[in-house]
Amino acid sequence: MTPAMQFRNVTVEFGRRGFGRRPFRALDGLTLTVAAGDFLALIGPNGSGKTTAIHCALGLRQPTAGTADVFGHRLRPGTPACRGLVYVPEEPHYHDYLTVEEVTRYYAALHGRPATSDMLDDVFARLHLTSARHTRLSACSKGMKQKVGLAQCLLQRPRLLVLDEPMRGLDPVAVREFRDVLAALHSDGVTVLMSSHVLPEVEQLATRVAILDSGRLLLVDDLESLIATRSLEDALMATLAQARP
Amino acid sequence: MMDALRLHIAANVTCLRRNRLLHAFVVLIAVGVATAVVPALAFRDTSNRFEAMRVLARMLHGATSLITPGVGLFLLWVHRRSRSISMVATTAAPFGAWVAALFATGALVGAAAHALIAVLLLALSQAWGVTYQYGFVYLALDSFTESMIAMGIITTLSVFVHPVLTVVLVTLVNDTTVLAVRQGLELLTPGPFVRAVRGLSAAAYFVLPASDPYGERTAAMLRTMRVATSDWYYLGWAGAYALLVLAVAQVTTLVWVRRRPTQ
Repeated sequence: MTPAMQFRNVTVEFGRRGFGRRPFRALDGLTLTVAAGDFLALIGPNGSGKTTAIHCALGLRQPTAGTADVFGHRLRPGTPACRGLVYVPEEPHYHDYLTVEEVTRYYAALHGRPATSDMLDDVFARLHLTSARHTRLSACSKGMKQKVGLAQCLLQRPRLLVLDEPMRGLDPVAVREFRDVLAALHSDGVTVLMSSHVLPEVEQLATRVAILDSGRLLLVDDLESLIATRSLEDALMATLAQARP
Repeated sequence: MMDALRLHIAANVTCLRRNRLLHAFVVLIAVGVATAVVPALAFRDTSNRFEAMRVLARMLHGATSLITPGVGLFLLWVHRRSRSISMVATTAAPFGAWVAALFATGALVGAAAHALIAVLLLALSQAWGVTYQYGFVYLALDSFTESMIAMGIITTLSVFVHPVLTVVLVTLVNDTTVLAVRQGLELLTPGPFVRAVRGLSAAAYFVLPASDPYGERTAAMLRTMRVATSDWYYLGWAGAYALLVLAVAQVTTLVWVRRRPTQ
């Protein structure tokens, strides 16, 4: 069975080589497989390469070396291989000048599954966005913008959902809603790759965990075995302590 | 592709419609033009009225030609600043449609504005009893062509440098300013340095895109507004040149933005 996502020896360097200059290595030979149906959480300190890895997989950044495939295809921006994929970044970079309804319709159509009014009514009601549907995104809170991303997840029924720090800065109610939607989607068979610093949420949602530090993959394991004898936070700290001199 | 293009154009038009900065800019130009037009209302004889229409046409089309090229630049800047390109890039809709929509939106806005001015002048000619010359239609089409060439250059350049720097660069380094430099160099005593600078300026002149490729040959028409067959011929060639510039702009912008959609 084709893995949902596969990183093969992916290295990413920023900056150029030159006299007295060394490029910064954001990813260092990352090899990782996300199987179809997995809920894999990428965790690690700031600057460990989580977002860079996600960008490489989505075709938003070209690796310096190695390959990153999604369902057997190397993604390029705006190609048919992106069908069935929904990306929700840490900062929702939607079109600020559109209203919640307009932007939801716009992205649904771009994803290839235009949303009918009934579909929008259902999704907005579920995410408590009905009263904000005619509000411009520039006037929306971060939580509301993140819900627009969630609305795409619900409308598209994607094969793969990629989330980059989706719950950072959200209030507890929004986190709860987010968690419920993700759990429901995953139980429906959607593969999820999520980078996060919110370890309690990772413990509740993920099936596997990968720990990154300084661009290197330190550990990838099933969540259950990782937290069998300790908390995820302790497991993360122990792994980092072991890897750092 | 066409569905995606339509979606992006609709989103871009909404962006322009809701942008207060752009509204203010348009109002500023409209007030400036209106201030210049008011004295012309006092004219009573046909020849003065025709002259007023001619000046008004050049002024309005000139102002529109300033705004239209900025549309592509403005839209690209809005998307890059809000980093929404990465969101569009992760959908299955062709990315080329998104880039094409930048230029298509500018073209639509420009076409609508120039057409409106042509209709306004037709109405004015009817109201004043002045014979409507095809030169007014020609001027609208010629100004539109010029603005498309400028939009292609400005938008593509803004992919590589900051929008403000783009405007400064295009204002200072264009075919007209380089031609003026070349003419100035002809007056200097030839020496090795002057010859080298002449060579450089000649190379720059031939490399830089022409903003009004047949402007000199059709200048006489703009005085009388009577269009000869050869003028339409030149307009056709200018249109083909504008299409070529836009095609190069589309490809260059697409290749560059697709390489790094997160920036």
